[in-house]
Amino acid sequence: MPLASEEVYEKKFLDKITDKLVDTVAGIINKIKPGWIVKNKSRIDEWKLMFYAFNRSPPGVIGAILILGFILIGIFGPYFAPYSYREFLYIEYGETYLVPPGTTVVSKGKTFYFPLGTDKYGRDLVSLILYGARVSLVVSMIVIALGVPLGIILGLVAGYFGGKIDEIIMRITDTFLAFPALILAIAFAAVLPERLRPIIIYNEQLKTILSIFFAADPKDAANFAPILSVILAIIIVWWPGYTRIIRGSVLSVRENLYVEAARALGVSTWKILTRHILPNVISPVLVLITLDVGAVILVEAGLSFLGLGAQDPMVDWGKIVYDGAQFFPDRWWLVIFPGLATFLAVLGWNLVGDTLRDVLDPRTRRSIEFKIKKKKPVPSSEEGGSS
Amino acid sequence: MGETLIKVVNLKKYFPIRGIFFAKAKVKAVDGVTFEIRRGETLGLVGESGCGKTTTGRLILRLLKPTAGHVYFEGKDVFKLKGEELKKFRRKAQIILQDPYTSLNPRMTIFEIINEALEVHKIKVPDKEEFIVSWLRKVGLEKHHLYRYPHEFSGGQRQRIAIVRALIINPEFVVLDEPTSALDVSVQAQILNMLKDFQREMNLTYLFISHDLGIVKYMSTRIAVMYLGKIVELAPAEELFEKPLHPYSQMLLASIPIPDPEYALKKPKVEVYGEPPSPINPPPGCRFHPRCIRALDICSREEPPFVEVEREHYVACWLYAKR
Amino acid sequence: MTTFPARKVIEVKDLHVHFFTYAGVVKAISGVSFEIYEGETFCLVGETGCGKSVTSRALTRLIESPGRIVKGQIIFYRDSGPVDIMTLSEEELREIRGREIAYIFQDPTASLDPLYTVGYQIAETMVAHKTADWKTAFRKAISILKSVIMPDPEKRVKNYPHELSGGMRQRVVIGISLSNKPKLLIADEPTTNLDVTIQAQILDLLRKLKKDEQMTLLLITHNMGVVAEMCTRVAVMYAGKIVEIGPVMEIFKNPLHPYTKGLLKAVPNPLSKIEKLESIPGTVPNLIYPPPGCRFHPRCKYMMEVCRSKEPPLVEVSEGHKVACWLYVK
Repeated sequence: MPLASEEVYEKKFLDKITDKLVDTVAGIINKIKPGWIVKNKSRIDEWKLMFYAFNRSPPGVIGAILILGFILIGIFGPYFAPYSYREFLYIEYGETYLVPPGTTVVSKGKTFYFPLGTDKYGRDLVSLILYGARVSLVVSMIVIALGVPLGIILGLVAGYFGGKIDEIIMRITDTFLAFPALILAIAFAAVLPERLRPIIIYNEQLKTILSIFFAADPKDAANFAPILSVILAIIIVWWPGYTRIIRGSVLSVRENLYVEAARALGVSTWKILTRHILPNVISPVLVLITLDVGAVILVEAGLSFLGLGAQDPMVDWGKIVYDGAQFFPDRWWLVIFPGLATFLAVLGWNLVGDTLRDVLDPRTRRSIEFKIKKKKPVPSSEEGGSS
Repeated sequence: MGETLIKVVNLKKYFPIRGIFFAKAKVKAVDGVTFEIRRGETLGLVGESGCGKTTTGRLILRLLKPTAGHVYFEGKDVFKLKGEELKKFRRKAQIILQDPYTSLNPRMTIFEIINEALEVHKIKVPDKEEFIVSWLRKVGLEKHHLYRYPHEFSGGQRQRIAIVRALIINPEFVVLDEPTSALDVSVQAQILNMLKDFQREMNLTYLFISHDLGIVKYMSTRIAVMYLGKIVELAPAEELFEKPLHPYSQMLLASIPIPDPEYALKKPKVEVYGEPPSPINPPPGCRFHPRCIRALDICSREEPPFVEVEREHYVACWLYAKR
Repeated sequence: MTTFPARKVIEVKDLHVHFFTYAGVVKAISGVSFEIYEGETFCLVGETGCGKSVTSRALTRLIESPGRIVKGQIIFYRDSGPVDIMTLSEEELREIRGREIAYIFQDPTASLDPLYTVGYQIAETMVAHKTADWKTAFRKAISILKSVIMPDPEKRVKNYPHELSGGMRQRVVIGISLSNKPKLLIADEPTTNLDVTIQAQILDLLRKLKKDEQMTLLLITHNMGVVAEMCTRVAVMYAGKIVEIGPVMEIFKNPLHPYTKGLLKAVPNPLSKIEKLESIPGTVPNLIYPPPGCRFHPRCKYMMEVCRSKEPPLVEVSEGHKVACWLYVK
């Protein structure tokens, strides 16, 4: 096969963007570790190739755009919201009560325009959705950031060491998996806030950090507790899935000869796990993570819809639906718009997850790859150099 | 010959077969093996599948824990080594594995794979890159191969990379576990000659495990024949082929297809029949007796001792042992 | 040296097989021609990727997508007369496969259905080709097991494949393929996965059966020792082409093609004292972009200018001994 660097690809506009992205990241790493680019040229080429394959899938690209939107709105949304989530306009301007989308209200000399309508407190739905995005983003990110590594570590240990350790870990995992997730989550979300609330309220630093995270007013500190409880609840029911998957992959990767060669070299167990086993089991996990972000958003919305999670006056998408459900179907916008936002966010992650699966599986990736190549690459009768 | 580098004494390895609650039975992969490997020689270990040769190689390198028995490396008990001593042993005793397609981590570049060996044993060189490149050149690869992935190379090239990984730390003893079985015949010769050259240059001691008798004869000074977990014959390479004593060795040698059609026509007919029984329930007495045309009465009752019949030529067979 | 009767069993003329993969068109076989005569054992020998397995499958059009036979004729001399396999319909082909031309493949475990007993599978072949009904077939199964020297045939006939060892499974596979008394038996690396003592027994068995049943055997292997012991004539393949063909004694005593010479020097003969194995430098070429001219030229120490640009024809150098190399073309 011609050398990777000699192959020529038909690049699309999108490919040039992703190329720039990869090069920028590589450049940054190179500044931290000089010479990194030279040593990892093959790796960089592979990343670029994976992006080309990804770019060839329209659903994948759409999903990526949706995710990008979700993340950007989640981070910057609250700062661009026309109104704060605490602005209960209804109190002063009664006419702002539950107005439909597109209404302009003139009251007491002030003009208000509500593109998506208002809720029962007279709060602008656009702002609510922007604030809610932040909470959804933070909750899903924390669940993944804490739950997944926990699951992975346990899976690695169980799979690699086997024997009693494996038995113990898997029995614990099975126990957690056997619990009906929703009920367990409800139990935690119902009980924990009582415990957490005092801790948060009396800790100034914690209060400040959390208010920045949730784009909330520190006065609402009492409400952080239920949100954190929901996060914790979801993490607890989430990690076992990862342990199972990772353990399965580790069991097969462990038998590969390069692991044995590493042991024969005298490589420490820790290095074997991180350098030889983990990189080779991570692909299915990456796919699962992207699909899971969507699932977590849904679960979190579901819990909020049940009245757990964010409490007044804080909002997240589920809570908006919870509040608005009583007015459905007359004041339909309170349910439809946050629902649509959730739908699009979850859809984005799912589309990316599916495409990622095709891209990361070397078998399906090859067939995409070769469609990209120009029809006449550099012919050579030797492989990989002289021998 | 040289001094004794490795001494294996009554080594046993049983693998339990899991029943529902406890081990149902044991696979007696290696069942009491005793031999020496001398510095500078190549000891060939041959046998068919299930004879225990691969397991023996792994045991000597402490990649498996023995059920019983000892392995002494330079006089020290390998299974009792700890910490620094263990690290030193790992540097001095290396292995080259059978399948070049899975013995290199597909996610690491060649540089990282070889560098790992240097890192683990804290080998410091002024210019790591140049040092590794010089070794790559010794096996016929080039500098521009350094930062590539294993899947960009052919089987023969990958095996050469595996050889560099094992030899760059300057070991004294290398277990070669069927290093060319997965390669084509023309590439095989390249690799074998390379291994021989390295042995000469670096004064290495080899344990060469293979099922291919032709290759084993080409590479080895002495050869041990294994059957069902035991060594049945041990002799210098030439002598084993000229005068095989154990009936199994005779059967084995008679089975090799010889690339000489004239010889094939006039070849003496040696009875080859039967299949190796299961290592879970080996036959009592001499394990080969059900297939042996010269079996005596005692062969089904007692295991024959491993005796020196001629100089350096050992057999475990009642035909040659004093009863 | 054996003289062979002039009756041919199968004749291949200018066969080309291409694989249309997403990586490109792999020219697995490019212009292969040979004949096999009745009663002989003909060997196709070569390393990985030379095309020997593909050739054997092409003989009954067993090539599946993305592969296709793009050119060539395969004349099979049936009792009723010669037919070109390329022109037959699927129905007619199925009559030939398993009955007049039978196969034995490398992995006996993969060739047997794990869900059915061995006896059932032997009987099934006969019933499928209407050579017997179920009752007779089952009875015949035991005698077939006897003919392949299966120990304890009455018991074994009721066993499932996983209850048998590798060697026994291969015997069953041989039994199945012989049950319909084929004219031509194609064995594709039948002993590569087996231990050497079992290999010797299976090869012995094949020799005996060939004599008893008066069959013709096409043997595919990469092992020169097997070639020497089993074959009357041999064709050496490289990169999808036949580079040398001839009686086995000739080829071993007087190899002409540089590749054949290299192969023979690279294989250790345990009976002789070898000072040094000679290797062939380089690697097998990429069949999507094969080298121009003679496909072996990048690795050949006798390479001349013409080798780089023109493909050498297969010329007869002595009786029955042909070679495709510019060194021998006047």
